Amino acid sequence: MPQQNREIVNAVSLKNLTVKFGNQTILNTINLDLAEKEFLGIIGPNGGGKTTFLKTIMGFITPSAGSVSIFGKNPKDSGGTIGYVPQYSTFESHFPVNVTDVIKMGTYTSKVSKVIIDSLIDDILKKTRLSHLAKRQVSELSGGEKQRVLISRALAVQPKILILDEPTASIDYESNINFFEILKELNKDITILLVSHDIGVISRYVKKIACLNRELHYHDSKEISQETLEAVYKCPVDLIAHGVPHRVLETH
Amino acid sequence: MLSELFNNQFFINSLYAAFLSSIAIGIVGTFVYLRRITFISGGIAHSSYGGIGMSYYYGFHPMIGALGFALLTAIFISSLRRKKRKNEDMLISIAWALGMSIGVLFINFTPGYVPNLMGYLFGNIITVPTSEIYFILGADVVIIILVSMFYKQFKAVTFDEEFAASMGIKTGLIDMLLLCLIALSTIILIKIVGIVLLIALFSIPQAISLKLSKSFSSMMFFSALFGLAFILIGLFSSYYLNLASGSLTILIASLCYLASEYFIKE
Repeated sequence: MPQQNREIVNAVSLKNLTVKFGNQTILNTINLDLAEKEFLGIIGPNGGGKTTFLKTIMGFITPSAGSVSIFGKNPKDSGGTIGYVPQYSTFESHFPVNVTDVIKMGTYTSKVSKVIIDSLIDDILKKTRLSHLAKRQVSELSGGEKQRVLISRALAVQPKILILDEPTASIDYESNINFFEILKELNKDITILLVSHDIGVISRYVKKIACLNRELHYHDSKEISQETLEAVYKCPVDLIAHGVPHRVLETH
Repeated sequence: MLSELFNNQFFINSLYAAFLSSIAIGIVGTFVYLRRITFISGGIAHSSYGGIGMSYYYGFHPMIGALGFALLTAIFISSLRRKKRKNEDMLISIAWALGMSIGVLFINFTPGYVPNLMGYLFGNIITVPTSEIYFILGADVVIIILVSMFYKQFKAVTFDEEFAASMGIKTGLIDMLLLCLIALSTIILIKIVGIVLLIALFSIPQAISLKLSKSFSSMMFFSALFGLAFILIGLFSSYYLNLASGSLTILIASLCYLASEYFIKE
């Protein structure tokens, strides 16, 4: 393995990762090496283990076998390395907090001074195009805006990896494009890993694609064969680009 | 007539109790309400009855028994629902009914007349002895110290537990601590509205306050204020009407909640 010779530490490294709940195997011997500043999209059907996959990478679930390492460390000790962006629909919008309050939560474990935190948050608000909404209550935001608040909060952690769960779910097309433009910009400095059940939008922006349905199909590229997709989804998939077989939307 | 009231030590104590309990209602109640764990607070409160029954049998202070049982329940619920992934409803139900049963059995064992148990069940703010005021004060001090030490952690876990965990916050520990704060609040509120009615003060003042608040801290302030107002109105109306203070407090709170639903536009 070349990375061992050159001592490059992968952002995410999974070795024979297996997760079982009782007798049920949710993730089966998954191997993955994700280099720094990579942008990997993982697609797979609902119930294919995407959420479990993310939770295991973040250390919420202890694997039944195999190992996870995040920049060479156990995920349980990697707080501050990971910026997690949950589905925006899971957050309770009735909370009495404004946009800045929520983003600030990402700095709660950091030890730096208030002045530095304030300027960090100003920077993030600019990056995610939220400056004009800084003092707005989160309950008054649209779906796309809430999603940008969540990504801003993850950035406030100053992470090396961003992990996104279903970022395209129930967001309108326009907001999605906006959102992915932001991700593309962020990817210059940060490794990004996202999962989705929807290949449509994500395939245009990610650098690599993998398919997950208990097992991970990954060929270190953006190409997925029709056969792989069909094997993963257990049904013919109609999202392969306009008459170009064996390829996922490279030129679009 | 009022001056006569203010010369009465029990009345003075009930005013102290009202002010001190508004602190728990404001601080702990806000986290409980926003985390949607009001029913856990119901379970913890009811379980404390076991400790009260035991205290009569063994002859120690009822507040110590109540606090002991409430803390045990807090630790029991918070650790089992995480480590063993047990159904939370089931754990709450067990703690709720088991605590009450133990309480009743110990009172059965206790020879002679056991006084004033209705006060613990439904509250009787006018009968708070000075010894209990010290317990309430002590519990408030502990709540204030713990919440100011871990304010950010409580806020982060209440808003989004998974994100908090992803940052490396020990969410299991913070959760257990919050449940222990509920246990402390139980002994604060036990004489105000009683074990049975307590959950109303962990939901009504907060529900109204949420409509008026733009931040956690303002929600805490308004909840404390509404809690205090309900208790004081309950106290005075019970004095003049000669009816149970705890029940009047909850009745007034519920009417105010209904009014707020109609009159406050969110």
